[in-house]
Amino acid sequence: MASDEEYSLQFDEDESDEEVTALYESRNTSEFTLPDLICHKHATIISQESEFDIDDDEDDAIHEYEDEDDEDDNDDLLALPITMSTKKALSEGSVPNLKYECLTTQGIYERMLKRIHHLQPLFSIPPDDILILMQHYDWNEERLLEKWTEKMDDLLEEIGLNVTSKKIVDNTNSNTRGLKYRKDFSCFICCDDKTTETFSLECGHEYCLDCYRHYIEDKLHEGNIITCMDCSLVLKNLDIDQIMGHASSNILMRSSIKSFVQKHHRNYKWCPYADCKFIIHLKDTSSLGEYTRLHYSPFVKCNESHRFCFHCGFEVHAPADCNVTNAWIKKARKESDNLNWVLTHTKECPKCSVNIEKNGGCNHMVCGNCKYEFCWICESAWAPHGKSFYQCTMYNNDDNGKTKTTSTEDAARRLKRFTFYYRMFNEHEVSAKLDWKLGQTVGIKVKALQEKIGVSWIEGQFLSESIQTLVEGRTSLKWSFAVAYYSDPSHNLTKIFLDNQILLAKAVEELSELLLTKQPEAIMKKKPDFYNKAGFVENRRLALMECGRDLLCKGICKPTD
Amino acid sequence: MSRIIKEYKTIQKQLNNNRNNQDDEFNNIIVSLAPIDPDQDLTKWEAVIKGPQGTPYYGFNFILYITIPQEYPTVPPFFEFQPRSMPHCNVNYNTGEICLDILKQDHWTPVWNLMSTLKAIWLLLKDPVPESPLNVDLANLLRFGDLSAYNGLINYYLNINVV
Repeated sequence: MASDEEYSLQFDEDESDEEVTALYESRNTSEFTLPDLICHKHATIISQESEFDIDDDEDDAIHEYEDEDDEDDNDDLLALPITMSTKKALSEGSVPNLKYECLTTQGIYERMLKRIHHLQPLFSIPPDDILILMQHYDWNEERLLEKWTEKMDDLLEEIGLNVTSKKIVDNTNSNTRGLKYRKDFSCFICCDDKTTETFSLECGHEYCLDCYRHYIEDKLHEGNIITCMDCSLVLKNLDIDQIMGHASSNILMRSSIKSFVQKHHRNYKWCPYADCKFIIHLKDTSSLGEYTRLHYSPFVKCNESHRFCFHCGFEVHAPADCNVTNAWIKKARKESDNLNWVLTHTKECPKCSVNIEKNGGCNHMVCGNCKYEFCWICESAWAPHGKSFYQCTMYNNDDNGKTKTTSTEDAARRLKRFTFYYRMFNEHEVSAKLDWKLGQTVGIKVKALQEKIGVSWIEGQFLSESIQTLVEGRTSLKWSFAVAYYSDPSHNLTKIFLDNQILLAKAVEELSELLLTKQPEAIMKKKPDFYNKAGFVENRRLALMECGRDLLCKGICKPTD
Repeated sequence: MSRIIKEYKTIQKQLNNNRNNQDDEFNNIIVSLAPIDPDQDLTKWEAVIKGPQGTPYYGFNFILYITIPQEYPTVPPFFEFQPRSMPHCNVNYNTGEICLDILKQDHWTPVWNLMSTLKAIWLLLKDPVPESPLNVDLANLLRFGDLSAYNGLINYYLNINVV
């Protein structure tokens, strides 16, 4: 069994030797020593139960890494302290050096407001106006500044912040911005004559408050700048709140930030878990390609502890890589009628892969998600279509006529094989969910434990850690069936993989059984068992993941159709 | 609904006036614009417009069906040509569907009304937009500059319906 000294020695070497560190970072991929490190850690825990020392060591090491990088980040204006450390990534058997932060729309918006505050002296216009400018340029400060120095006042006019003389309606008294109280006002929109409050901007296009409210309500969720109904003059947040009677501009800002996140889907990803509000921001995506090339998946974790793959935006899926995951999910859905409909009526956005239904309009499509413009027929970028001859009509949809030459028997056999793996996959998914529920009760158990026997919080931690390990083990197990499905069954490595799978399944079930213990006293007594089993699950999981990656690297596992 | 009643009245007045004075450019383009069943249902309308001068559509009348959604005027009305009557690069020939930005929620504003929308469609007949076509064949001919083929094809389609 390795000792603490050896462990820290390893890190010391890395730190003292700068070249090694640089190499380590520049390569940006996990060394093969990494899983060893982790196994190593667990082995130590099991033998000595002195995890705190080790954690301290590891924390220090990681802080060193972060400090180095933070210096580079200082000039990045959106830099925030990094909330998730590499330590997490390490313990998840994923790749280190993936630096990201966890945000919410509100957080991003507040940061934008801070930026606007900084920019204000440059612009000499009210912050509200700068907000509109930022919104217009998709919160892209550089582009805004560029245009601003280029055009200045013309820009304000172009965007609709300032009134041009020709746009003003020759109404003498209504050319003031704001609410007015009018007797017998005839609204041009609803054609009602009534005594009501009205609203107009400097342009003098005056409508009753009801109509304005309907109009704004419809626009709030689009996240675009809202203008006067008849001209391009902008409604500022203050105007919107005034019309709506409450702080509705928040909704608009949130939608605007949402569309910002979606447009920058390379760097920003929503946590895919239901109802999770967090967004992960990865500044440097250059290394993502390298991870996938080596069949690793770059996992991130949001503040709600949801883990997902930053590359494909799907839940954590090791040992399967993104391709296998994608193929598997499509395959799994194909069996349902829903997917049949999706396949026949929708196409994937060529850029962000969102499924798009064309329910009318011309072939000039704009993806609602990433705003990519493309041609429905040939699925390539729209830009060349605007000017040149339509080549895409030459394309015949003949390949849609699926003439399957394979015999029905073969298809049936394949379906049977798939159904088997899918059932296994599904079972572990359900179990993982049940385990998660169990995890909720563990929280109560731990509490009962603390009250009953008077143990400290830290001593009860092993329970929730075990639950975490269990769920992770189940998830890996689940995805291993996807890998198994796409692997060549005759190959030796596949057989090893399947053996590993069985071992992990066994370990997982044992741990799961242990967690069903009811009495708190009994749980405390079983603490060493918990450590043993959890460590075993972790080891088996890492072994399976490494084995799966091997299959992928060697091309034995290939996602087909 | 009061909006649509008011619009109906204004439209009737305008169309009557138009017959007596010939100044406005748009005066003669709208042959009729009225609810199909004015006493029962104001959500289904029918319009007949004339083909603009200087286009292959000149000399023909075109029927449009209009559906007014419940949320009108917050939501745009739904316009379509009579199916298989309008060979135009922004109109789906088989369904009569029209691709025009102001008919889409994003570009529609409640300031538009049935009359102005109809005028916009008429202008579309005058100035087809081959950049975002529904009828790709016609758009190709137009973009290629083969006007004789373009006009010929339109004429061919238009005359099928006459016979």
